[in-house]
Amino acid sequence: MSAHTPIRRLAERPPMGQVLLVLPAAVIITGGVCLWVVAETPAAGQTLVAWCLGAAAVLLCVTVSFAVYGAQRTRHLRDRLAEMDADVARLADDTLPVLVQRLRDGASADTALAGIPKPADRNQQRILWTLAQEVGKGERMRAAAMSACANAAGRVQALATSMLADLRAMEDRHSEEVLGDLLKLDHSTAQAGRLADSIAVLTGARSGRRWTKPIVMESILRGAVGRISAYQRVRVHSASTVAVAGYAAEGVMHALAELMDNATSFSPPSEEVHVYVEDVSAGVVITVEDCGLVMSAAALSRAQKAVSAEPLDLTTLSGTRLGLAVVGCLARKHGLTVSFRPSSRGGTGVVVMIPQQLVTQVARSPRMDAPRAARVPAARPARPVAAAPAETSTDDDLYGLPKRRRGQTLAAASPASPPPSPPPPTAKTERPHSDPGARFSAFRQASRGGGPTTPPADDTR
Amino acid sequence: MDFRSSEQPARTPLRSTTTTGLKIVVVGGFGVGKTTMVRSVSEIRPLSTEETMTRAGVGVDDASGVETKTTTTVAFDFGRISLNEQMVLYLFGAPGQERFWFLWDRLFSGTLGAVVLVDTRRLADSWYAIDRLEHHGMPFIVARNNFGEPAHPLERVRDALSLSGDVPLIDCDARRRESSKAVLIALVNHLSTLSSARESIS
Amino acid sequence: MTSWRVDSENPDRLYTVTGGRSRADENSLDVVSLIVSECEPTPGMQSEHVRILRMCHRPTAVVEISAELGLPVSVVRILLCDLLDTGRITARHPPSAPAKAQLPDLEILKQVLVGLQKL
Repeated sequence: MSAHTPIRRLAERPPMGQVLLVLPAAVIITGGVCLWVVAETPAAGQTLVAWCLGAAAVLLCVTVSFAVYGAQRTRHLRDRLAEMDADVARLADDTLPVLVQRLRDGASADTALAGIPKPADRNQQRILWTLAQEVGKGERMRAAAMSACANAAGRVQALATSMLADLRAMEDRHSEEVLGDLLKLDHSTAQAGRLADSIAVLTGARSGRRWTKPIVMESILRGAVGRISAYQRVRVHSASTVAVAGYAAEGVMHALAELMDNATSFSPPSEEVHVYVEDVSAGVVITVEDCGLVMSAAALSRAQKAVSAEPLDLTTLSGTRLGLAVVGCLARKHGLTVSFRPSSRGGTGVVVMIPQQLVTQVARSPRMDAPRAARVPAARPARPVAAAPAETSTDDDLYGLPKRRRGQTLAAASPASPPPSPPPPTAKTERPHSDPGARFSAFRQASRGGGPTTPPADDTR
Repeated sequence: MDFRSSEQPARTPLRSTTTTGLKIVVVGGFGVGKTTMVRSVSEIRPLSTEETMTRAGVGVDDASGVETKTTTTVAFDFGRISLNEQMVLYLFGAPGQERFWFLWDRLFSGTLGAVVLVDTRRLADSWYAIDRLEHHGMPFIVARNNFGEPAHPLERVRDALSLSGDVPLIDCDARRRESSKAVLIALVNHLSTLSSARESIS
Repeated sequence: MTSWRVDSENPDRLYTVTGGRSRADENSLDVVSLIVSECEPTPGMQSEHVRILRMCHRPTAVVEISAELGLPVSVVRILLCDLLDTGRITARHPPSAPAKAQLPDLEILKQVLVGLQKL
């Protein structure tokens, strides 16, 4: 900055130096010539000649001086212009990118400005200041929007995870009549969870779940398949016995789910999507093949670009299709290699390579050695139900023992239960019908009446 | 209490000659000792969820009057007794509350009979189960689980439960194998009596 | 209610285990029906089938399989039906499964009594 200042001072001073040299020289030369001519001239016209020559000489000197001054000034202005040009170029090429980068990195406008060379030019300073304010504001807005999205996604993720766990517990507790409906809810929740995961990935938030143990390939594939809508159209062909490291398992499942979802979305609903797994020395290769439309060269290269190593450019996101961008983020995070090619089945094939460092060998049957107790109950007992009738019967206490009235508890508890001969409604219903059990009976009745709600489908495996 | 330690041996397989699986259901309210009874006579560790519920259910289970019980069994646990070369008896412990009755639909069919385990401190917990068993015509006996000195004579309990005279009512200590065994034998004797009575009629 | 499960859980949702089915075609399997495998598992078989086939070298009750796999009985029934349909397992049904609340056979009761007394 200080280096600029003397140059500028020099530049701003009127450029008189050469004129001061040229003017005496011209005066001497023209003076000499005049004297010589006057000396050579006959005395009769000497005075006239002297006056004329003097005048001409003076004129010439002045003209020369002005010409020199003009030329020098032109040169000076040209230099100055070039200098300003360089200044602006420096501003555009060095200063501004650094400033914007600092703002992008989260610095405030003032901090970012303080960290860059300050241009001497007042106008440039104003440009920088305005720009810093505006970019900083935009950046703050972007960051706020991103963090709001990430936060919301995280909460949906947490909700989905807990709903999935609750549903799993309910699936253990409830009978076949309800199981079909629970599985449907389970499936919807898993898809909602995936959407939240996608938003989390795109906003740079953490992934939804962290698995503390390696996840075997079968479970990875099921975890992926289970998150897409048309999971029953996916056929998995795998004899792989490897597992994916716990910290990467969620990302791998998510990426595969997005690719499988693409494959099922872009192929006819009547067609299956085939997934092949191959253990290779460099890791595991998973191929997702559909027989939908063949992607054009442009589409293939667009897809390839989306999943390539370049960092995510949010501006390339379209509102509806986030899948490949998500795959790209996950691939970069976990070092997956994703490539597209035309499929031998007629559609598109996606090849995902899971690198060796994410892959672990597991014992032959990892899940054999950990027999679990039946998980039937995860129910949280709200309160032993029979306590309610106990309160209503205190009048009948026998020596401190409450008295049972035959059939009454059953009748009161299950007005909707399906016994062969309905118990007579002897007692007024003594407990509220909002009781979970009673509700469940009614629910079960309804589902029983409706018959099987889930059509039997082929096995995915 | 933690019977599911990691050192537990792997599942003991049945004899390959086993052809017939039978079942008896032990039903009762929370904390009445169903799992204890199943465990005391089972040849395998009962598969149950007690451990889980100990953690998850703390402060939730209404254990008024049953202060000593810290774990809660919510759904059915089961144990196994190999009777002979061909027969194996499965013992199911199931909560008697109506909220869990759906678990029983399957258990009912083909069940030899039921043991209703009662705790006089929470007698009402068994009402629903007894109603239900009577309603279905499922043969059963009632066993009072005594953790200490019984506070009431058995006849008062019978009266309070409005049990018909032919339903056996006995005392037991579910923690003791012999006592639990006696309960099962009492049930089978009761069943035999009913069965021979029916045969003599027909 | 959920925290304790996170570590032990697998990412397999039940509908991916059953391929979307929630009901077994075959309804005759009781919780104490004894299952016996008739063949060895083959590569590429779904892991639950593999485990069932290994477990059932010796007769194993449906409810034990359910506990061992950590899957609901109804899901286990679906898996067992797949194996029954392809002849990979056979089932030994309990004597009086369909008859509701019918009194058991005296002969069976006698054997039960003897078995219990020997305990």
